[in-house]
Order: sequence, then structure tokens, then C-alpha cells
Amino acid sequence: MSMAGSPADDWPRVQVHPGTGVVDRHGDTLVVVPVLPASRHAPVRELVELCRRTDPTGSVRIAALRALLDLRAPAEVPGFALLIRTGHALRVLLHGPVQILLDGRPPERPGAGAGRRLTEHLLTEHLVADGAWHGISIAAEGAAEAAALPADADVLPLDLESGTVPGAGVTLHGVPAGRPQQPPAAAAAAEPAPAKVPTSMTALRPAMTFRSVLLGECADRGSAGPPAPGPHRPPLPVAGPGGGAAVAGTTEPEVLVEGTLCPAGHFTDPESPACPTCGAPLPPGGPRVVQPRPPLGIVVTDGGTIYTVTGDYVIGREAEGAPEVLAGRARPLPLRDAARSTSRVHASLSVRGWKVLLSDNGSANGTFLSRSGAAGPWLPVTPQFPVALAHGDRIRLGKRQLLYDTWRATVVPQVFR
Amino acid sequence: MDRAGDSVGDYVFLRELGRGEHSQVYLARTPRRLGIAADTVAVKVLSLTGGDGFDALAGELGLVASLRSAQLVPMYEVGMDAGVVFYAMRYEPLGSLSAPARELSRRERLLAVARAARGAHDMHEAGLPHRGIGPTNILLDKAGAVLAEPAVGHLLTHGHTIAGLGPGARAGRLELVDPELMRGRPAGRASDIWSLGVTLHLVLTGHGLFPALVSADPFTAVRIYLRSQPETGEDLSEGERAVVVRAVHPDPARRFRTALDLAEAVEDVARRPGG
Repeated sequence: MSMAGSPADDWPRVQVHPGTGVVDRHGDTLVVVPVLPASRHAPVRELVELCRRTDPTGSVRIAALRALLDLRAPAEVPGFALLIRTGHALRVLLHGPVQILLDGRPPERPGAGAGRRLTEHLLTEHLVADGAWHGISIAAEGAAEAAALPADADVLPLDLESGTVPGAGVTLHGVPAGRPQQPPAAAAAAEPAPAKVPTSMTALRPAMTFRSVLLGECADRGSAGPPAPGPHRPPLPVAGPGGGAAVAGTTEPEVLVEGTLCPAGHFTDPESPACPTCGAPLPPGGPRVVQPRPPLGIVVTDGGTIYTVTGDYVIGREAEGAPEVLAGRARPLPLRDAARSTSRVHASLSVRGWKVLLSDNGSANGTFLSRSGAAGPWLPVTPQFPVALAHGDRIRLGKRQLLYDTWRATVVPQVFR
Repeated sequence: MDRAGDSVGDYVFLRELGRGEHSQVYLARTPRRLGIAADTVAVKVLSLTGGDGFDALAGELGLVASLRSAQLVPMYEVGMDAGVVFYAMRYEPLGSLSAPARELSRRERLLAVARAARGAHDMHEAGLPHRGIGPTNILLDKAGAVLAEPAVGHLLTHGHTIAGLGPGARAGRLELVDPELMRGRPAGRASDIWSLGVTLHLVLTGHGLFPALVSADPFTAVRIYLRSQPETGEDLSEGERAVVVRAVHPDPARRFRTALDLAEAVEDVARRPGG
């Protein structure tokens, strides 16, 4: 199926599985180390360097690999796969707990279309002829079958063309007959854009993992000179009648709403029968005013963390990654849950006027509300019908729980009057 | 880096000094590159993630360190190693007001809180709230005490966490947080003054201002806290009680105007025989 050109021209498409191992593509070779054990970085670097050596058939590299495995204790070299493109076949060498699947099956099974197999020096070799497969998966043993890769329709179909990237394995996608995959320059002239698979070229660079800012006396001695702390700020305002109005506000951007003022001047929900701050009764039909909305309550997690409700929240195990949070429209309320009973994005709190609405986000285990002031009975909350939270409501999301509280007024003792 | 207790960056840990809700503090060997005489430093490693906030955090701590206040613990470096944020500061071997290396007299405890209040005032004058004042953060030194670094975890998390009881639900810690913060007021002089008042009461009496706050259940603890008012203990002198009551007044406008006013009031009490 190959057209004329270098061996790299007719490589199948290389889709990298997400993970923390290493996938390296260079010239006619592909190295996959599905699991990168701690403190084994040096052997992996040595392995990648060795596999990148130039020899037309791969025999020199295979001999060097065997020598490396003889030299070191087997456990010192992590499991890996080396794929070498040679003629119209792929030479696949495996070491350690790494598995190859041809169209979902191990190659040694009858009818799988594998070539030959030999095992020596802890290195297993398969020769896989072109045309005998549609997809080859390489991953850690037991992980190849389980690798749930997103369908191409869901993600940008990428092809690792060259370089080193993190990954737990690869899937090679066979090139359909008559549609050879070509390097970008040739493809631009040969095929219209939709047929081209985007490619990814990376280079091995030391990642920046350490940052430092020297402070105080150490900054003065540092060769880079004193650090640049943020701009100087004005003194904090003093609370009280003479201290300015800044202390009365909140840390949130202002949202103007229509409300009413209680006899003591607290701005509050006009539909409420009494002022939640001081308890004074609110006559129905009182004058309306428009002012910045105060915080409406707090949410307490069963882990003891407290959030003030001034705007929308997304609740879940990975609430930080929710689109509304990333877009800045909501803040995350993350709930750690090792048992994964709480979904990544489980539920939402939306503030509308003076109401705090709770809705489920299609979570696996559902969202439930208890109005009794105790843990149950639980009423289901659906995505379609958001529920307005009331003071004292408990919310259950998988095995985690939340409490909504609106700080009802308390009596100030004589000592403070 | 191995958070289990080996090192972070080039700081090699010697032993753990303590742990908080979102952090662990280690005694570490001083990297030579810092150019300071002390053999060891205290390194706080945050368990919060959120590298996006590192610059804000470094800027905030840089401002605090640049004050060079004698009442604030000297800070040496803030760093991030493989996504883990840490900072290094002077190690104070005499302990803190919550765990002093030796027994302290009442006067020493009063003066330690006064020094911390002066440190907080230096920060307030520079536009910086502390947010984390408590007995564990008032470190004892030869001059009396210094206030430890401010709470900065909120800069790493996008959510607006006010406080937490932490794992293990130490409900008593809740009262160090001004209830006004839960009503949406920003942290500032008044909320730090509240924390100083609660701290003063804790270190003089050994117990909190909210006797009902004993539940380990966070929901119950928060509900009790928000529906209670502080009650001072019997074992305070009149002068001490007056300072505490004014510092924790429910109306922030009726507390001490500044932390310096509170410091001077505490020093005044410490000068009087018998408080």
C-alpha cells in the first residue's frame, strides 16, 4: 500500500493514549513505555536514545537492546515496545508487561494474521505484515483491551509524526488502500484538506517544574535583584461610620436587584415575610428599591468548608473543569470523593434574583434534597426542574452532603449593646 | 518531590513541625543559595493545587516580606516544585502560643498577642489583610513573638472558601473566623481584630468564646456558631475582658478601630499589676 518515499511516509496513523508513560516517534521507529516507574527516568532515556540509532533493518538496534537487557537486571528496564518499519511490515519487539493487540486480539491466536514470533533474552518479536490488520494497540498488559479511546468523531484526530510525548500506549490505524498517508508538504498538493490527519511534532525539552521568587533579605542578596512585589496598596479602610463605605460591600462584583428595605434599613427580598437579618416583619407591598444584591447564604460541605453564595456554582468532583467555570460564569465547589459516588460535574447552584436554584447536571447517582433539617427523607432534584433552596436545606450528591444556611438573626446579648 | 516527607525543591526536610487544614510545615536544611546564616528554615508546603494563582501568591507574600516588620516572621522564598507550592521562612524554635516550648507567664502571653496585633497593623497599613490569625500563627521568639505569614490559600483556589473546620472537624477553630466574613464582608482590619480577640481569649483562658461549639459535625457546628454570640470566660480580669469584648463585638464598627489600638490596649492591661 506504500507509495515511493522514505519508510516514514507509509507509517500508519499513531494515536497516543492519554497517560503518564512515554511515547517516542523518530524516523522509522516508535517506542512505547506505558508505565514510567519513579526513579527509572535514566533507563528510559537510555532506551529511547538506543532505539533512535540509524540502521536500515533494525538488526543492530535489536542486538543492542538484547545486550542492554543482558547487562541490567530485568526489573531495572521498564516494560516497553519498539516498533520498526521495515519493508511492508512492522517489527514489534516487546519487553516486560506490555501487550500488542491486532484488531483487538493477541497476535498468537489463530487467524489473527500475525507473522512470526520468537522469544529470547526477555524480548518478544512479532513481524506484522501490512494489510493483515486494521488497528494495532500497544499498552500495558490488561490495559490494551480496557483502553477506552474517544471516537474520532469526538476529538481532533491527531497523528504523532515525530517527537516525545506522555502517553500510556498507542493505537496504530491502518492506512486505507489507495489513500497513503503522506507528510504534510506532499499531502497539501495531493489531497483536499478533509483527508489530511493533523499531525503533532514535538521536541524533547526539559519541562519547567520549579519556580522560585526570593523574598525579603534573600531577595536583596540574589543576583537578580529584589523581586517585584505587586503594586503598593492603600491602607485597609477602618470599619465604622468614619471609615468609609468600602467595608459594607462584599468581595464580589455587584449585581443590582429590586428589593425592599426593612425598618432597620437592611436591603432584602420583597417577597420575604420578615427581614432575615434582624427579623423585623416586612409589610407586603412596601416600596421597592434597586441596590446591589447582598450574599444570599452559605453552603457548608460535610468536610467543613464554607462557601458564601453570591453567584452561580458548579458542584462536583472535578467542578474546576466545568465549561461554566472555565468561562468564568460560575465558581467551582469541588467535592473530593475517592469512592466516585459524586460525578465530575454533579449539580449546579444558580442565583436568580433573590432565589438560589439547585439543579442536577445529569449525574450518575442523582441529586437529592432534604427539607426536614435532618438527613432525609430525600427528594430527587432533576435537571429539568431546578428547586429553590430554603434555609436549612440539606443536599445529597452521591455520598457527600451540603447544608444551605441563610444566617437567621440572633439576639445580641447585653454585654455588646 | 515527595510530599511524604523528604524534600521540596532543594529543601531537604529534617522533620515535620506541624500541619494545618491545607498545609504541612517542615523543618528543612537551609539551601546555601539563600545566603542566610541559619542552618535550618521552616518550609510550609500547601496541599492546595492551582498553579495559576502562583504569581498572585508570590506577589502577596513579596509585599508582606518587603515590609520588614519586626513583628512579622521573616520570609525567604516562595516556590513551586512540580505544581506544589511552598514557602520558606525563619524557623522559630520556641514554638507558638498554641504549643510553646516552655510555660509562659500571663504577661508574656498578653505581650505576644500585642506583638502579633502590631504585626497585623503593619500589614493593614500596607493594604494587606492577614486572614489567618490564631494561637498557632503567633510564633515565639527572643523579642517576644512574631506573627506568621498570612493565609494565602484563597489565591490558589478559584472558589471563595472562607474557612473550614478541616479534616477531623476541629469545631473550635471556626470561632477564629469573623462571622461577618460568612455574610460576605471582605477580610480586613475588623476581621483580623476579631481573630486577635478570640486568640487573646483562648491563650488566657484555654477555652473558646463559644462554649456550645463542641459538635464535631460541621453542619451542626456552623449552625450553632452563626446563632450564638461570644461569651467570655470567668477567668479574665476586668481589663482583659474589656479588650476581648471590644475586639469581638458583633458590629465591626464598634470593635477597635485598628489592630494597633488593640495592641496598645493589651499592653496597657499587661502593665497593670493583676491585669
